Amino acid sequence: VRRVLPLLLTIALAGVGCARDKQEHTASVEQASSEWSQRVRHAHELTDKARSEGERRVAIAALRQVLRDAPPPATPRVQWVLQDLQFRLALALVDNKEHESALTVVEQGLNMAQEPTLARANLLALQGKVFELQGKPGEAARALHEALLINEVLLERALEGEAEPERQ
Amino acid sequence: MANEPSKPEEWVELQQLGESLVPTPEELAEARMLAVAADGNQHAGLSEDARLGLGLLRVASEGRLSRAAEQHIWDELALPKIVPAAKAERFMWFERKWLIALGMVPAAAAVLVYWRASSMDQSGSLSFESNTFPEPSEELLLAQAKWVTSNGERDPFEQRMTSYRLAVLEGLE
Repeated sequence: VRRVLPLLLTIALAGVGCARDKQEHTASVEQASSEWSQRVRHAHELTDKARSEGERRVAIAALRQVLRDAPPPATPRVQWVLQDLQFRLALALVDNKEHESALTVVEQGLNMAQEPTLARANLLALQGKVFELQGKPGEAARALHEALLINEVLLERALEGEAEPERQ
Repeated sequence: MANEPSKPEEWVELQQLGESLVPTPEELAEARMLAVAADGNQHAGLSEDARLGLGLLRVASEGRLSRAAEQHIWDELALPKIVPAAKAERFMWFERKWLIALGMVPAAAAVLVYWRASSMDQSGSLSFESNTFPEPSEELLLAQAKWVTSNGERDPFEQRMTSYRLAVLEGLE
């Protein structure tokens, strides 16, 4: 017993330490996530207000920065927010006539997740528009049609009263 | 206007109707080709098919109507004299998409049920003769009015996206 007791105590204390570390880690992740989402909100506000090319450049820089600082997309919610940021970034680039850069951002967003979400449908619809602007109707039709099918899935979910994964 | 449908059979029927109205990639590509061939990327001078193609591509794929597209559809595609039955069916589908974009799924369903019922002839097939195409419903007009702010009209899609985005972000805070 004398030999085993210290060992058991050590294991118990280590367990308490691990639990505390885990709690601290979770709290720290939650705080970082909360701070990041505040910055995301700010970037969206800048984008909402951007009317001139110069204002859009500022918004584009803010959007790029929050994308760089993003936490790993561990949840559907974070994944959705990231895809939505990429949609807004691409849209601002299109407004500034930077079509190739916009298509690159759209591609990155589409590669991030394949699930049928509103964010993905927006990316596809924007991709279709850029293809149209570039005189590529075939590619445009394919992208737009894919967006259309996603909207059908979203409609069915809505009719069934099912919550979107990013809202769960 | 019909009441909001509540029976499950009606919902199933709506979904089946929706499925049958999704244009194929080939239809979309063809419509777009027509639009490009007719008049570059401008609406003026386009054939009806080409204009429908633009409507299909720009409106349906996004599940929304921009102000310009909305006007385009009301002015051009909704008129029974220029819209054959098959295209009018698609127009109903556009309407549903628009209401859903506004977060008005029950109203969208009600519009479909009403239009479908009012457009059936005795044989049960859809009929869109010049006098049978319904006027814009009260719900549609109300939905339009809802999005007119003191700053002027705002794109309903942008409005809805902003609300939805904020709701998703709140879950992270």
